[in-house]
Amino acid sequence: MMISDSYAWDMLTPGNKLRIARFQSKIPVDLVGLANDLGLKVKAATLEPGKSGEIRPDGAGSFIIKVNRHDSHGRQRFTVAHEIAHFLLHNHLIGTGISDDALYRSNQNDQVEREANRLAADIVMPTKAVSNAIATANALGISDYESALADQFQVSRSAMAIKLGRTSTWR
Amino acid sequence: MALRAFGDTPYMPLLSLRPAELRAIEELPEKTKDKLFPIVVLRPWLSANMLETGLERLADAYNDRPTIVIVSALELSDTPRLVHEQLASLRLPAGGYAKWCQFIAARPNFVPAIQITDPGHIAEQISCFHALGRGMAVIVDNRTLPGLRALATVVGGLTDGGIDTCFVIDLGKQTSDPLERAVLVVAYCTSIRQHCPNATIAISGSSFPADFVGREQQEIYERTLFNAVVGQLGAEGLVYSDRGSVRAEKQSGGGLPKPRIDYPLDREWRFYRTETEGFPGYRDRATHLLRATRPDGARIFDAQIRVWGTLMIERTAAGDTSAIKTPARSTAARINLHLHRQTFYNDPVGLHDTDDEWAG
Repeated sequence: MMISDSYAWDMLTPGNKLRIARFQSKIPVDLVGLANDLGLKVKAATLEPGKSGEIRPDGAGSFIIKVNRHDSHGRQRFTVAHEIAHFLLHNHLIGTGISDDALYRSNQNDQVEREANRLAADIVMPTKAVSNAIATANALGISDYESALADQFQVSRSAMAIKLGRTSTWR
Repeated sequence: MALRAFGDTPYMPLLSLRPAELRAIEELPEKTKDKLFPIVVLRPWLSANMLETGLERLADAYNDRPTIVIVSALELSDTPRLVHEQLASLRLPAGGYAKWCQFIAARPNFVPAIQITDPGHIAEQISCFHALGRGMAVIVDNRTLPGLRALATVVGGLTDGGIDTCFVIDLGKQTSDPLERAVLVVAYCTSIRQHCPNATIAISGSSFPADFVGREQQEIYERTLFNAVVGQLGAEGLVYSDRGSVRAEKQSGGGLPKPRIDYPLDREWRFYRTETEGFPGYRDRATHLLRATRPDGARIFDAQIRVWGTLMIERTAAGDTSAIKTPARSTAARINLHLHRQTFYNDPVGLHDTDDEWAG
């Protein structure tokens, strides 16, 4: 199976690619470390109904990400990666804040949200690490590895299915 | 040195291994979980065969934080299961409640409440727990309060005057005369302190009502009583406790209650009940609560308290049929809000500062 980085990954600067890669050396990816390295604070919060996450200026020159603490752990991780992706790709669009609903829709256009989804997937499910995990599974004769990989990368099974190209892609 | 100093917490809710209570505590902000110090009554978990099922659920909800535990009183069951035998075994007084001591010793985050059913085995039990060094609770209810002085004498003698010990005066169902009862509770506290000057004392009870027809609000009498005791003795060494807005007495069935959204405030509960069955009833009442005002025009519902209970009420009002749609979910939302409110009683900053550091 061939999987690859998304076009959103290619939108990153070489410096940011290296920066992210440093936190992808171990699986699951160290999202707290990455966020802190980028100067971002991440809070678990009870957001308004229907909200999964948001990124806003923190009033001190950087940004604060809030994630819905009542979502599943895997979903929270994807949401945080999604908000980090907004920071990396759409810093100029954040303004007073981007607030994402359960379908990762916001006040931004669909293209912006698609880019954030694709980069989030590349952050929490690094292509090389996923490929290695698939190769290991194949070597062990494990064919139904989607669930195991989801656990290993601490993402939802549906997120892993999309990464593996088994279901429809991100919006 | 106890696992956790009893005097460090402002609130020691007395909870049970029941779904609504564990869901309520599970969904609290981590900082709220850290601040309160629950006393959990170990009992059968739903229809599970083993006590461990309930303990696993407790660990899911409250992780490995220090937790005070006590064995439930005997509950009659039509279909006795292994869990009833396990609990019966933990209640055995033999060897200074040796089974109970072993059970506690094997679970590193449990702080024991001593059992006092058999006076002949209490001292040995206290010595065991004192040696374990995690601290211990002494829960005295209406049945055992007459023996309080004798019990405090024994406890004081074996714990250097109540070091790492917390007495919990559990008054059970609270009535509408909290100030009169405060006089009695002050006397209990004085008696405890004579023999255990180093002990913390928690004062507990529940005035959560059983009947809601024509009832729109209810004073939290246990809070009134506690404040009255503090007014006489000072706050030092005293901790507020209650049942987390659960009734002290056992429910006797009676069918499915009418849809009701309850809203805990600092010193009272508000009730929004309707005869309209099902989710439409819950939605209507949640919507009503969101709009309700006091005589001065201020809203009763505080949307700035960002906890799960608030979210559940908001989602219900917004028509989300996966939010509050059953009495059990409504109860869990109420308990969640009540636990948070009482943890941050007289602390408006803490009450509204609910965000946690995200752990990854």
